[in-house]
Amino acid sequence: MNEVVEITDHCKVKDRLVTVNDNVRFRGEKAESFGSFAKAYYRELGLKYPKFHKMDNLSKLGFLAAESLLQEVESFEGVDKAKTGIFLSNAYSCLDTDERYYNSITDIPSPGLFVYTLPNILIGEICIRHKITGEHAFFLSEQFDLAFVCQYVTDLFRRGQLEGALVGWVEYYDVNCQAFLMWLEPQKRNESNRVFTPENALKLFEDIRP
Amino acid sequence: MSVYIIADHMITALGNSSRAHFDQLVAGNVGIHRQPVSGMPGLYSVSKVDSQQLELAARTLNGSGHYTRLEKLLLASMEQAAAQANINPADKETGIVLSSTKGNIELLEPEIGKGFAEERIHLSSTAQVVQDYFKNTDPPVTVCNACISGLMAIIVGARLIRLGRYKHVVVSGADLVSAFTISGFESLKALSPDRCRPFDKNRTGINLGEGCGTVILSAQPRENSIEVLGGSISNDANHISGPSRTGSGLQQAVKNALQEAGEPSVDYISAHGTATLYNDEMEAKAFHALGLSGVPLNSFKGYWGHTLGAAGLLETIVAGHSLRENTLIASAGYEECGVSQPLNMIEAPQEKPLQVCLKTSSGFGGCNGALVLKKHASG
Repeated sequence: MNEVVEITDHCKVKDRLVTVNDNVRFRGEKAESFGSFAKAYYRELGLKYPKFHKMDNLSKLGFLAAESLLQEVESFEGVDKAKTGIFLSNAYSCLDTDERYYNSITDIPSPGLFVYTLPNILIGEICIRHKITGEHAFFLSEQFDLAFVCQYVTDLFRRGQLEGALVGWVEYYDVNCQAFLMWLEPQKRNESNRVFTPENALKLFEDIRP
Repeated sequence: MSVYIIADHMITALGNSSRAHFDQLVAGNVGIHRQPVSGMPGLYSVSKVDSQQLELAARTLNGSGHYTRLEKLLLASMEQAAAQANINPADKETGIVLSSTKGNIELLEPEIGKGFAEERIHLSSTAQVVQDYFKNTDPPVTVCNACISGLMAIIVGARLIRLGRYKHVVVSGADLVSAFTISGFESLKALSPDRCRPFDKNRTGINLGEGCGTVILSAQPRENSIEVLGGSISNDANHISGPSRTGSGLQQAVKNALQEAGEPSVDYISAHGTATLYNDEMEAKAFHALGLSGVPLNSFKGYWGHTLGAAGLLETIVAGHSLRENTLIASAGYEECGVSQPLNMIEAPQEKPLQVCLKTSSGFGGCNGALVLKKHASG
């Protein structure tokens, strides 16, 4: 029943390396901090988007992955943004920012940090950047629950509520820093390895799995 | 395929069952009081679940597990709702959907966190505690999507039933009042020192509240079931912490939900109504643009505050009881219109034949959710 949606493109960010459709897009220094890696890649992308500098690390990571991926998706411009969805997951929510925020409250609680203590703020940032207004959700699970996500998202395509969707895993906590995003569209090509099934998605996700 | 709410349960400062809450609301009782919050100096107008009440609610939990306050709320509420529906959560054909914004975040406070393993703070760990307790075969689906989490969890649960993945889904959402959330909303200057006044001219912000709401969704109706006719989620794509000026995102969610529901006539709106200046104004504009400003409307935030990830669930449950009882509940704290597009505010409890309710939620990250409920005709 899943054979209606296909994965047209995918992006991975791990170990300071960004790939789109397995082609290297940017290579940072393995030992550098995430902050300096993100800034260098932001420059490389030629972005002029001041909001980026206010984001927490989870949002920066997901934002840059979405930027890299959507640049590659030829059809993105023509897709109805009210029927474009974003479905993201991770295991640790935004705990990195939660801890930073919590450490600020004994002094002066930081409103700029507090607003990032919800993982779906990342979805909001991607929506603002790309004018996406459709169905979305942030799910938490220990492992990427592709069986569920695939069924849930495919159903929305079948019902005509989606024409395109960003689906993936974005984690920023402790030593876990990785993003994996897929762009999904109604199936056009008849290539079985591109069909959005848990198995196909897992194959793409596997080599960056925490 | 249709989806029905066949049982529900809720815990807040106002009680430990949906029935108790409905009676309290008809009587006009409010759970918000100025009181201390652990880890914060001074007093805050918040609605908290009394510790003794919580222990009483949790006393029937099986086994000798050592649970946090949040876990006790979830387990006690889910167990009572499942018992009421006479379903077995361990059944392979029963799924679980959870919602929370901050889960066990209070474990960051050393006093509260001692005695619990570090990983207990993760919502995925809360999901594991729930799965282990009920011996469910599948891990729960956990929604963490700001203030629409509870509403979104119902929509997710309904879609899972529609897909045929489960016969029953237990949907439960909870959040606590903690130094984390209190200090955060205070830093945003969003807290009202007094009881909040949604849509009122003199509103000054939100009250935080805590609680847990659970619904049991089923593919088969029972007597007194509430049908879930449609649901939709949208994003403003405008600002991460401020609502859209026009309410266009909320309009999109409401339009899509009503379309899925077959465009029924709406008898009653249970709005989000946080009592911040911008949120209530945004909602008023959206309902006006949708031609719904004449529909009787209330916010429940004036009774138990904003319960974050539990809000959509608690409010849907009470809205469902309103339909069954043919009784509209007054919007606590409202006296004088304080939005640019007047709404038909419910100012006193009122008996009225009711069939269809529109429930909405909006939250940080620009998210909006809309759900359409209908009283199921029994027999």
